[in-house]
Amino acid sequence: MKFDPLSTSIGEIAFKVSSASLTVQQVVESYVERVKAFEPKINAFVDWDESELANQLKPQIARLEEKLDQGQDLPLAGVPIAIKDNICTEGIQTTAGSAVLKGFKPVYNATVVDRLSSAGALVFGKTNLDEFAMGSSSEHSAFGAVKNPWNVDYVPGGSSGGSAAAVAAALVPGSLGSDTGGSVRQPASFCGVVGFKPSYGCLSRYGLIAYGSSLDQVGPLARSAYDCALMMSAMAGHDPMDSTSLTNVSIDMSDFQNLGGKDLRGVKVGIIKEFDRGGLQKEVDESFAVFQDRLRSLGAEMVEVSLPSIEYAIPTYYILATAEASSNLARYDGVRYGHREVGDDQTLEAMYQESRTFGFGQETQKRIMLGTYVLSAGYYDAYYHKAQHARQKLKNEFSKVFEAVDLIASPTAPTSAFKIGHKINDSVAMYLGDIFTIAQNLVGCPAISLPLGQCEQGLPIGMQLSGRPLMDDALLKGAAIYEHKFRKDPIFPTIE
Amino acid sequence: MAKISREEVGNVAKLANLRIDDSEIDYYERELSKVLSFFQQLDQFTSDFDEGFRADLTGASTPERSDEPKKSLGPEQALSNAHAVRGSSFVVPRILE
Repeated sequence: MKFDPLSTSIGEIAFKVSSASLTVQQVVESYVERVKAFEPKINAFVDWDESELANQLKPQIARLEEKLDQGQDLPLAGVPIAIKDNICTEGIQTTAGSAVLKGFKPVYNATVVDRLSSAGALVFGKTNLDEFAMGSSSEHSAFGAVKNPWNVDYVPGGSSGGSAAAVAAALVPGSLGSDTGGSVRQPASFCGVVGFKPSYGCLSRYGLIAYGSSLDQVGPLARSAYDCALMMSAMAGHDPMDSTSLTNVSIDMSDFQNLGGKDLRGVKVGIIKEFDRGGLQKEVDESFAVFQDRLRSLGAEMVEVSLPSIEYAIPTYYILATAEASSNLARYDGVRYGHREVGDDQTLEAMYQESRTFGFGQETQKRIMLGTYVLSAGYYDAYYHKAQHARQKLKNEFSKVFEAVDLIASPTAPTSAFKIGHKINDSVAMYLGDIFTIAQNLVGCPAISLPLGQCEQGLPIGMQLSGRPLMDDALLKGAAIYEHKFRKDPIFPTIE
Repeated sequence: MAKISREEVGNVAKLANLRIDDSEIDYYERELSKVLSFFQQLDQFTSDFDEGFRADLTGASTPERSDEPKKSLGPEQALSNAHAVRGSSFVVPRILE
């Protein structure tokens, strides 16, 4: 039987591999062929090498075939999943997009990777990203910028740009990203795929290279909310190795059956009145109007909601995220792992400084310095302490809003993808693009980006639904009902 | 515009264990000043919380695990990514004369 990567979903691959109507080899070969053709143009992976990947896949396939022979139920049987390169994979280079970690091979898997593997998935390469997940364009990588498969002159978004580009170009049917302020959802929006940020604590962060620990969550990217839910159901659940991992979150796939007979009657969807629609790109505004009409046609009731403190979300986020980053990245000192810059008659202090200065890129150094500054004596109260207050206030406002509505709808980003290099020298402009995605990380609620429409240049646009904290299953189900009704077959870019 | 001085840039870089050359100081002075000035939006924010405020974002407490010994990394694994190793130790530049 011929296997077509463009028309087969994650659920279908797993079903066909489990029922032996498709072999794991057929799946792997088809995707490898696509990566060989398109990777040189989009740079979605870090150090992609065909024989290296074959070596990594060999033991994984042997283990999978053994389990299949035993008749184990494997919801992700034979599904190749690309893993963002800030998520640890045992024995497989994990760089976080940084020269400081070039050559680093973790001695353990992140829990999310172990859980995907237990469900039958194959680790299929490591995807490129903004260094340490700090960025919204995937231009800040020591391994070169990622290109948007819809137009290689444009960014794929970030920081999980490689994960989004790989799914958009059908180099894999699904991938993992990480989302600290929109880093799964915004690239999903820019690349025309679905990206899900779970509630804080829903997925284990064990083995995720830390950026802003109180904000970071791993999240799946795929072609549909249903496929994201399948990946989530394999990964969600308490992990004793992560003290912030919660016990009461799970995704039950039986809720996702017979979606055709379901609608959103009785569901209240909030529209945030403080968001200025005047700041939206014309086509994004038009897509948002269509999105609301579609939700209404499914029976949802649209309600205006107010979140007065959301105007402070971006500065609050960048103060807290950089403060946490300055602490988290202090561990890269050239001693236990990572790059060491060696000099003659070097002191310990000089070794630290030289290793870090050589190893970190400019944006990372800038964020470390910002974080150090906002935490330093004399500035702590004005910045860090105040931002903590603003975060709590925003959290309280969200809690109140979620007493009145079930979901909140917005665009995912105010624009479609921008040109490579366009914002690289204007950090504040880059930060402002995160307006719709940052608050969810500050308050810990789940959110999903769904593709809807394209701009004049043919670049995709994404719409976002946010849900109540820990109601990840309800949000995914709502998104799956929406897409069952309105999504046509996914379309793929023609990469020149 | 919130201004960070060249001297402050130098101090912050030192605290962060980064070496900033003279040629880069202008860049970071300009870039950090721009972002810090953007952060000043928060000056408008007034907090309703009292002095004893503590952030409580997760609500219910996060689960704890029982304090039982478990297998952890062996020395060989723990040292496997180090630049320089001797026996079961990480090697660093001399710190005592």
